[in-house]
Amino acid sequence: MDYPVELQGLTKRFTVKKPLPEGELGLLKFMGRLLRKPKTMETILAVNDVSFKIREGELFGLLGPNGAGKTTMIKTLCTLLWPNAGTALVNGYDIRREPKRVRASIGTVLDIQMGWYGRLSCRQNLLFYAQLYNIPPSKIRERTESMLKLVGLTEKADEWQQKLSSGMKRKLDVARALLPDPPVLLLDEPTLGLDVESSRELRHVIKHELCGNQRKTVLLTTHNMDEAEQICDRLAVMHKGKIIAIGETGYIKSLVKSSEVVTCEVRRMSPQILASIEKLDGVVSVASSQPNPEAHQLKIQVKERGVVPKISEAIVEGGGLLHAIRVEEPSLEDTLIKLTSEGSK
Amino acid sequence: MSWPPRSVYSMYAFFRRDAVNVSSYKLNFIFSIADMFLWALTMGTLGKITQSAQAPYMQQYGNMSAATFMLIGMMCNMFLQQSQGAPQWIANPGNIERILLTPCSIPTFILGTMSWQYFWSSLNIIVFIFIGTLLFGMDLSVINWSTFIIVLLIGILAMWGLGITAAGIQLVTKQWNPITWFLMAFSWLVSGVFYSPEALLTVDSSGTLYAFAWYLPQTYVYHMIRLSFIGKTVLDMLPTLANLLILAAVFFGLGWLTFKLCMRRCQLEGSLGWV
Repeated sequence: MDYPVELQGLTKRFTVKKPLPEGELGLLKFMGRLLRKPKTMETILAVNDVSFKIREGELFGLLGPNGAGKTTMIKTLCTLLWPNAGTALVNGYDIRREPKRVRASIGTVLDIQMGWYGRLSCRQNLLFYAQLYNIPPSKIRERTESMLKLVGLTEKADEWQQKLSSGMKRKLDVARALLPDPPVLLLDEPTLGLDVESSRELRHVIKHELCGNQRKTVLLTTHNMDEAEQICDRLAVMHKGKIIAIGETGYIKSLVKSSEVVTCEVRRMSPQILASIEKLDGVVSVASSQPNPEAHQLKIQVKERGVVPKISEAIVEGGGLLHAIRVEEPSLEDTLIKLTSEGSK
Repeated sequence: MSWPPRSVYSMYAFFRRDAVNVSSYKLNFIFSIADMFLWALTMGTLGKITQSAQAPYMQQYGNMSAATFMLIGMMCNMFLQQSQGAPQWIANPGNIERILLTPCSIPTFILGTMSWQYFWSSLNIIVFIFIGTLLFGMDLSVINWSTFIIVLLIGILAMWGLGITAAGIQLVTKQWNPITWFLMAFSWLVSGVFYSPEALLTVDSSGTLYAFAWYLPQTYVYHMIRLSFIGKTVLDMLPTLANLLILAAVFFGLGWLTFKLCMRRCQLEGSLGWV
């Protein structure tokens, strides 16, 4: 199959109740509101007419800020949510018409670890799920052991699940997703909570073992830009339910390559400095953060390097102390910030 | 067809999961076994103490002893209560989302979740019958086992209906469902676990409670199971059995429909995993 995952105008809306405003929390006001039956519902377009295809053996990354709709998309693809419009084909099966076959074709790691039984060992938990996945009795032990080995939990196999660290629980999540040997993997932030070494190991397993050797198709969501940059073959940037950019990692970065990023470390920072930099010709955007109590870090996207001296001047004239300044090519993180801020506008 | 059949294989997974989980609480597990014997002794003793008061209502059951009457009531109650209560456990948000991601069907999921509880209730029945025959003169010589099993199965079906309704409502509201709890608790009062529903007429001369009792499937189950203990067959009690069947069909049909609707609503709202 050329495209094991194919989204066709997938749309998912949620109708949610608006919380009562602070001023309406009194009993009488609340009763009045109930009697008047005001509209307290609002519709959120979590996934908005999304279409793309993922090739066999491809590692496809989905990037976006919180609330972009990544988890909703994963949950819709794995049939836990029912789409409002459009559909998707997973391993050739329609998520609307053949949800059972879709579920039999996928392995899923969701953002929240659920469905574990704390007083069962890791092995017993996996054996339980292996039976639900209908792995034949003759192969069930072998499969469970190999999954435990793959995620590095062989030594912890007989420990109660509730005694594992959160990183180990995440590994067990991945082992469960791989149990049925599915052709398609939907991984919602699989490295969340893992330490640096475990994350690197897991990324290696996903990229080389699962996608490379076993030709599995992987859709992975992540907040970790380095992770996306390192392992994904292609990326989609999602914002407010829409795909705002899609392509190979290099292409996504090139979308903002016409600009460069000036990083400044400033002490005695003030809002006036920020405002004067924003007004400068050639400045595309300014993002400010405070990594330590004394200094602010400014990430300024500029159209050309010629504006750098003007930035220094603006800081000094505004009463700030310029501690360090450097010009960099945009990282994927910069790209994401730029694309999503443009999407917001 | 593969062996073992997929649904049986999956159900066994649930059974084993619960067996391992329950037995991991060792002290609790040992006390649960002791609890079965204590309950049987308590019911038998209570029956002996209330023998003279219960005697007038025992004629329809071949003058069985009040101890036997109460032991039967209690052991059936365990089965019915499990049937009503267990489907609500599946409404556990983490559990249901995760199981739905496997190829396991919802009926298999529900039955599998209940399998350990039924096994445990079956052990209870054995203990109750053992204590009943050994200490309280329970007579098993004329019992009609096929009637016993048929009535119990239909009763279980009706109670599933209530339980599945409650599970569906719980999926949507994320709240404990008081309606089915009320029906279950009310059945202790009117359905005849400890005393015959006819005895209600002595405290409620209007007959309201007595009339209400026959709208509950439990009342039919207790009544007919007791009749099976004096050798009555299904054919001997066809009209009563028909009533139970109608109640079971209505309760189960409505329950399944409610559950499916609630599940679909959760999938639309995205609230399946909400706590």
